[in-house]
Amino acid sequence: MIRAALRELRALLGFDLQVLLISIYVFGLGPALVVNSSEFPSGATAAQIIWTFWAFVIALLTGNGFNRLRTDVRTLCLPNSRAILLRAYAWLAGVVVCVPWVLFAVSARGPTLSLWSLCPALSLVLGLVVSMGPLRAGRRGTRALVTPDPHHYLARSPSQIIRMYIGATFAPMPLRSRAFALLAGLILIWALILALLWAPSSSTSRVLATTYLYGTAVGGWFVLMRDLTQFVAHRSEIYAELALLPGLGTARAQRSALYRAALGVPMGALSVILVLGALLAQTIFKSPTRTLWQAVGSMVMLVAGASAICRCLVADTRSATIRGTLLMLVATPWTVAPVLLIAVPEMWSENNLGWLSHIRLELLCAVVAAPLTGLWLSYRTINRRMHPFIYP
Amino acid sequence: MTTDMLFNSVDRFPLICAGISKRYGENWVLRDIDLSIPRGSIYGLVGRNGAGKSTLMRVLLGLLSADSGSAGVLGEPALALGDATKARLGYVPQQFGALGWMKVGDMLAFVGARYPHWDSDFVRRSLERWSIVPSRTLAELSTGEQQYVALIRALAPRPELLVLDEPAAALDPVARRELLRELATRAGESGMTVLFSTHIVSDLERVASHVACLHRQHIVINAPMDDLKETHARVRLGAEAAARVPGRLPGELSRHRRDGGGLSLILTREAGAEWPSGIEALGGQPDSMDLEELFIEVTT
Repeated sequence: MIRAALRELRALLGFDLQVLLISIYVFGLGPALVVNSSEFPSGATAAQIIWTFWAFVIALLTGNGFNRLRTDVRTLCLPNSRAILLRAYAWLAGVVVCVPWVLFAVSARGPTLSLWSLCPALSLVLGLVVSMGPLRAGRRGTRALVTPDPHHYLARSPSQIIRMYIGATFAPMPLRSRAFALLAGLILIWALILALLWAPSSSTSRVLATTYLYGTAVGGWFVLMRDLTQFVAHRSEIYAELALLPGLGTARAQRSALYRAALGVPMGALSVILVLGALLAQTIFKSPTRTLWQAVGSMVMLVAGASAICRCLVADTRSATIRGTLLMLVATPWTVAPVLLIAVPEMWSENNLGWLSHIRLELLCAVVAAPLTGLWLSYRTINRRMHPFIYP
Repeated sequence: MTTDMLFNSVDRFPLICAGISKRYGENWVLRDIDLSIPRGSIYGLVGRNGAGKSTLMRVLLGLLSADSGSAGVLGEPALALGDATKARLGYVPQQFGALGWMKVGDMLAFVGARYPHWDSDFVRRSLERWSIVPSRTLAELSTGEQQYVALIRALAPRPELLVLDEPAAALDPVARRELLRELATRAGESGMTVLFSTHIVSDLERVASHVACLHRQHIVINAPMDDLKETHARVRLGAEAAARVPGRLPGELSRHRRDGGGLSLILTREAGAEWPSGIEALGGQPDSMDLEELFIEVTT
């Protein structure tokens, strides 16, 4: 019975969504349960806010998956489609809504945290409702938003051409296009909200600003990585196309263009977020040592991201390796959390470090060694190829 | 064949390879393949699923490096094609997955900007003829429509050499016939050289001028379509004659044991040459076959 249930859930959600769900559960619930004590009220609050945000995202994604299943079932005209849909909906409701709510209700102590436990549950329900309707229209709108003007396709550098092949979010945007104006407006609104939250004297503002930055980093990362993983999934055909496309220059130029194209946009976006995180920490603590630590941590995060992307570009075509690569891409943003959460004072203050100081040390050792090794190996692999788009 | 000869014969053979071998891990896919595609020909590469047709095409175009041997495209080494050569080359992959987020019209405009002889009129006419809406994104198109777009994208640069990897595999019979007709018309008008792979023998008979059959890592048949019936034959022998057959006969491609102990032999000879003399002594009579029969006999 349990095996059958697990099999059905696996079939319903798919591999990528399962990885995402497990990551979010581990990341979101783990800290929420661990720091759920009166010693670190801000840490607990931050974890709850993050979890609430992610609960909404999970619900949106799984709801969208359910919608796809509903369309497929209708297309296939199965005689027992109603029963299939009801069972699928029950599984989703159980996994996405009931389990986290029960866990939060059990772990929450005190009236404030008990109240907080309602937030994820409410956001989960809201996410499911939202995903049922306008998500499809929204996606179309986004696609229209980022589709550049064809008149600007004529003169492009090799890295810009490759960016077009990676996907819409990587495609260069002409300065005079409507899409660029809209994006600039969105960034302005985002920056204004951050400026409003940026009040170092208030504990709540500090938590909210940190969470806001963290949410932007992880959300942006996922949007970019969605295109990059699609690029990897269709790499065989796309590399063939790029290998035979005139205008990309010599093999050496193509290799550097591929690196620039794949790394430029995500690394640029992540850098901005991490620099803002470091500035936030500096305004809160006014401690150069702490800011230096955060800068070092940020560099490690950037290397981790670059390593994951390089690995993605050169990974073997076997499906198991691609899955491993995608897993690495998905996991990378979680490592951003410790760096940004440095800004939460109670978690990192000198007096209350306790066991967290050991974790911080071990974490830093691990995150320094792993991404650097990965980046070095990936770089060596792609540089051994005479031509980046020709398979050995 | 030396490397110099390989690349100097571009006037006669736009696509040529010699001694190509390729393996994935421990499994050999191609062994010592020699192939020369004559200028202006429509060359059909046939083979069973998994025979290595796509691998051979990718090696020929320099998309995959071989373990040994070399390939030349329009007079240049396949692994180091220059921009000028790439502009004279068209390729239709088995699956078209690139730029799926773009609208059809935008994608063709974007790609067309890289080619000096891009035929915009042909693009417009073809989209109209196949009822493909340019404002739809590639990802929204059906597999057949995507295949049409891939063909338009490959033909619009007016290539001298066009390579198609199972272009009609995903199409229904009507669409397949239309696509092949377009291919033959276009090749006839421009003198373009075409190499296409398929496992559907009737496609070959419809358009190909030459045929090559890939089986168990080797090219087992390689002949102009018109000569095929003259140069290949089946000989059926009874049980008594089969027992007297010595080892492998000259020009023997395959042999199958028949019910009752007889033998079915597939033989080949040069155009105008005689069949092996021992055949008549054994009481066998060479029978001509159509392409489908020949393909089945050779690849089973």
